[in-house]
Formats: sequence, structure tokens, C-alpha cells
Amino acid sequence: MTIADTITEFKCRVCGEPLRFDLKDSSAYISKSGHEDFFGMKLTTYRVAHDTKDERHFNTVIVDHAGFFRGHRDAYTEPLDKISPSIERNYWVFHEEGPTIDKTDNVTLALLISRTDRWVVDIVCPKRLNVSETATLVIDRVEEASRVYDVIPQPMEARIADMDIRAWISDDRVLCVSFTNGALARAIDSIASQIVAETEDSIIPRRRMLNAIFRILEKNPNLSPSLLLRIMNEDMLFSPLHTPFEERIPSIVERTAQRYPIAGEILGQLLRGYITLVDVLEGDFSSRYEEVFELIDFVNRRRILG
Amino acid sequence: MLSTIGAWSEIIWLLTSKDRVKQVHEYHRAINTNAMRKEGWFDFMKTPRTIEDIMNHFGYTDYPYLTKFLEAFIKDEILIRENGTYRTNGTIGEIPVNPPDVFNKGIVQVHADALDAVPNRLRGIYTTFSDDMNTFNWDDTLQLQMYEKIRKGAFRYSGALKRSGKFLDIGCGNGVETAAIWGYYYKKGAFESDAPVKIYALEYDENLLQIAKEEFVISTSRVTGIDRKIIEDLEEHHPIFVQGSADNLPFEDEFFDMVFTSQVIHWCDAKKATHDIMRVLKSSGLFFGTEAFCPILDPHIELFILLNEGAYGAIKREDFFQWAKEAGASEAKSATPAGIFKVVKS
Repeated sequence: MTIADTITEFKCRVCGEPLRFDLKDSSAYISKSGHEDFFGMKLTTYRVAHDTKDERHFNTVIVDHAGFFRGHRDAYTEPLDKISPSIERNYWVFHEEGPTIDKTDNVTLALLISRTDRWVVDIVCPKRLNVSETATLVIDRVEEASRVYDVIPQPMEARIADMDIRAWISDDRVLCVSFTNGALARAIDSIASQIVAETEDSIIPRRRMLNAIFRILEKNPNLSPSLLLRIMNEDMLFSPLHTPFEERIPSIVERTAQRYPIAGEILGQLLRGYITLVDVLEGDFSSRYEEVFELIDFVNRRRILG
Repeated sequence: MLSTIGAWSEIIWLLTSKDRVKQVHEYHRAINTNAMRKEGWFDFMKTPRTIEDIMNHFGYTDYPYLTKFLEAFIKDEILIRENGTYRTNGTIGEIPVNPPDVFNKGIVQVHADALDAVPNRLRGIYTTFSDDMNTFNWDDTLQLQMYEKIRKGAFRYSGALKRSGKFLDIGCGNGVETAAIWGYYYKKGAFESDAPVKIYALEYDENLLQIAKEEFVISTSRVTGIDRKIIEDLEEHHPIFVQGSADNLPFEDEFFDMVFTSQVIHWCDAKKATHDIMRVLKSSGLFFGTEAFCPILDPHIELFILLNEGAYGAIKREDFFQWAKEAGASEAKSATPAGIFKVVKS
């Protein structure tokens, strides 16, 4: 679905219409990210929009160094009458991979913002909030602080509208959180530097992973930083598990459940690839994350996973 | 005398059912017979055959292992030996397999998978503890209550809990045994004394060793009932897990005060292992444990053990004691059919 030296073609993920844009023409796209190395390929993410009768369809697409379309990252629709005239100043709100958490007992707002690529992941965010404007204001505060301080205090404290926020800042990203109380402050502080660190494997951090972390933290504000880091770096979080011993899954589940009862509830589905680890952690088992990880370690150490 | 009674009291449950030894034998006899029936042995041996005929027909290369297999079937009257040939004793049908009540699904699966490995073994290809699902199955197997009982018997017989110093658990497997031993010493207050016990745990199989090492706290809490937090807080007293073989111990001479093995020596070069264990033991040090000496070890179980490369198989008690004495033992004795033994270095 492509080509030409600088022309990239793909189908709109919303309506299926074939679209093309010139990589060298900066007016042909809304924004683009920096390069990401992926197994020797240099990948860039472009945000492209096209209009239908009364809607604008936004597509975020991955393009390789030769200009080939390599897949969608995100797609969403906005009514034309609600599109801001100054869209170039707007932040691209990352829409895919599950819903935003509206509010938690301890957090009213949690945004991860890219300073360089102008995207924002709204992890915890009330529906009434203008995410893009909030991100803009947060970055304004960060830039203001960077002019005032040689080294910005971490976390930086500021006020946006009626919200007291704390922001953890790296050169590329900002994690902005507004707490209702202090219950989660220490836990978030312990992993914030990892969250705002630029990672090689993802231009945009996985929203579902961040959501799972916040859901788990709600259940246990004293969660150890090591487990939080484990969730962030867990290779198996999104991938379907696989076992070379498929015909023995019932026996594996039955015997494992004798030591980890939770195996009876989730292991069969995990080993058959019906669900992934992140499905488990963001669902009813978010409060049983320790059992879930011990179970995964248990089967992994016993070479059940292929 | 009291220590012998103590050892017996731990293992007596294994022998309470008169039929239990018979159950174990019949189970192994059934699975081995069915496996070799599937291989085509009994059709081939309707006519008397020499060992050479059998080796040529099936492409076998391991003469000693084949001989042991044939001997086991002769003892069970499945085969008859006449004038250097072997023939079936009538029609050999499929034998029902009834696992003994002391077995769990893990060990049954280990045996079932091992049978698939027998034809390869006869052709000179060995199996390992980590093949296919073996890590999972062995992990399950090592939870068996019978292992706990004979271990407790060995501790009661040897008086090891009255000693202190460096302790080596050879063949720690998945670490359940090490966890239990750590628990015995914890409950004796051995980690609070001026001369605390320091446990080292040795395992050859890297997969099982990883489980032992990484799940030490979980296993110890599960098998001893001690709270995880307490175990975590005693980190400086956690065992040191080491990869290595009993017949080539990676330790200096006279390093340990105690060495323990339970049903391990038959998995390696038994004589070499006995000598090496005595080498790493200090003067007056204690070497104790359990070993199913010949003829207690069922011939069919020995065939299973010999599937693994480097395994010695059944050991005669007299040989074992002789090896220990050659290597400096001043005292060597045993009790119970489970082969609970203790050896003291001079």
C-alpha cells in the first residue's frame, strides 16, 4: 500500500479511502515524530488528516526510511465544526488502546506529554477536560520553569486552572499528575523517571500499560518500585503467550492451580492466547497482580512457554 | 538406637501398606512392558532371539542397557532365557497401568515421557532432566511427600540438627528440599547463634537450579509455614545456590561440616561422587542422607534412572561404605529399607 520516493500511500483506518501524502511537503501532514530504530529500520510516525463531508479523519501512520507505509498507530474522528483553527498548535491526543480512566480515588489527572513530537497520552483524565489545551499549558509551565531554573526541581509543582499539578520532566517527555491526596505521590515518584525516559522500542508509550499501572496503584498505593518497573519492562505484557505443549494445557492448568489457585481462572486462556497479560492486569485481576506475576514466573521458569 | 527408631518412625508410613512396594513394582513393570510391546519386542521374540539379533533388528547400540532391560523382563517372567536366546513367555498383552497412591501426576508424567525416550537410549541417545516438559514434571515430582519423609528420617538418624557450620545439600533440584532444611535450622535458632549454619545447595540441572534460587523465599514459606517477610529479612542466611555435579564438586578440600544427599548418588558416578564428598568434608564432618541401595531399588526404576547420561544406577550398600572408607570415613552405617545412612569422616 505505498510508494514513490517521497509519496506514501495508505488507506484511512476510519473510512478506508486511499490517501497519499508527500513526506517532503510539511504541509501534507500535521506532525511527525523523530526516528525510531526497529530491527535496522528507521521508522517515523506521521499524523495525517483528511476531510469528509462533515468529519475530519485523523490517522497516525508509521513510515519506514524508504517512505513505505508500515502500519497504523492510531486513528480517530472529529466533527468538522469542532476542529480548532489553530490545529498546528494542538497536541495529538493518542486515542487507541483502551479507554481513558475518568478519575481515581487518588488521581484526578495524569497525562504523559511529548515535548518534541507533540503528542499526549491521557492516562487519567475527566471527560470535560480539553486534553490538548491542558498539555499546551503544562509545556508552557515547563518552558517557563526552564528559563527560571538552571535545573528544574523534580517534581515541578504548578497550577493549571483549578488543578495543582506535579510534573516529572525529561528532555523529551513530561508526566503531569494532579493528586487528590498524597497516597500515590511516592509510588509515582519512584517510577516517573522511567515513564518520561525515551525508550527505543516505542515512539509512543503503550497507553494500556500506563493505565494498568495506575489501576494497580489504586489497589495498592505502596506497590514496590521494582514491581512497577517490572510491569513497564515486561516483554510479555501485550504478546499472546504460547506453549509448545498445547495438548497438555488442561493438565498444566490443573497442576499449577494446586500451587497458584489463580491459574485455574486465567492460565488456560493465557496459554491458548485468548487473552494477554495486560488484559488480566487491567481487568478484575488488577488487585491480584502479585499472584499474576508469580504465576507467569512459575510457568516461565518451568519452560512451559514456547 | 533412638536415632534408628526415629528414622523408622518417619518412613514407616511408606511401608504400612504391605502392597506398596508391590504397587510400585507392578506400575513400573506395566509401563516398561507396554513401552517395549509398542516397540515390537514381543512380536519379534515369539521366536527365540539372541541379543545380537535384537540389536541388529532394532538398530540398538547400547549392549549393557539392553541386557539390563532383558534381565528385568526375565525376572518378571515376561521373557524366558534359553541357551543364550530370549523368547516371550506366552502372549504379552497391554498391561493396565495403576500409579501407586504415593505418586502424583508429575512423576507419572515423568515416567510416561521417559518411556518414549527408551528406544533412543537403546540407540545411545540419552535424555535429560530438562527435555520437553521435564522441568515442570520434575518440579512437581519433587514435592512428593515420600521425599519429605525419608529426608526427615535421615535428619533424625544422623543427628545433623545438633551440628552447625557449613552444610552442603547435593542435588537440591527445585529447592524444595533446601527450603525444608533451611526451615529445620531456622526453627532450631541456628541462624541466631554465634556459629550459624550456612547452607550451600548444589544442582546440576540449570533449569531446576534457577527455580531453587529464584523461588527460595516462596518455597520456604510454603513448605515451612514461615512468613515470607521473615525469610526475606534473613537474606544473609539464605542458601548459596551453585551449579555443579556431585562427582565433581566445585569446592575446596575440607570445606563443609555436613553434606547431605537424598536419592542423588545413583544419578551420577557413584564411586567418584562418594570420594569427592569425603574430600570436601572436614575432619569429623558428617555425610548423611538416603539412597535406595541394591536390591531395594526396583530393577525397572533403575532402567528409568539409566536413561540419563552419567547415571550409575543401583548401588550396593557394601560398595558405598567401602568407597566412603577408602576416602577417610571412620564410621559408616545405615538403617531402614529406604537406605538412610550416615558416614563420619575420621
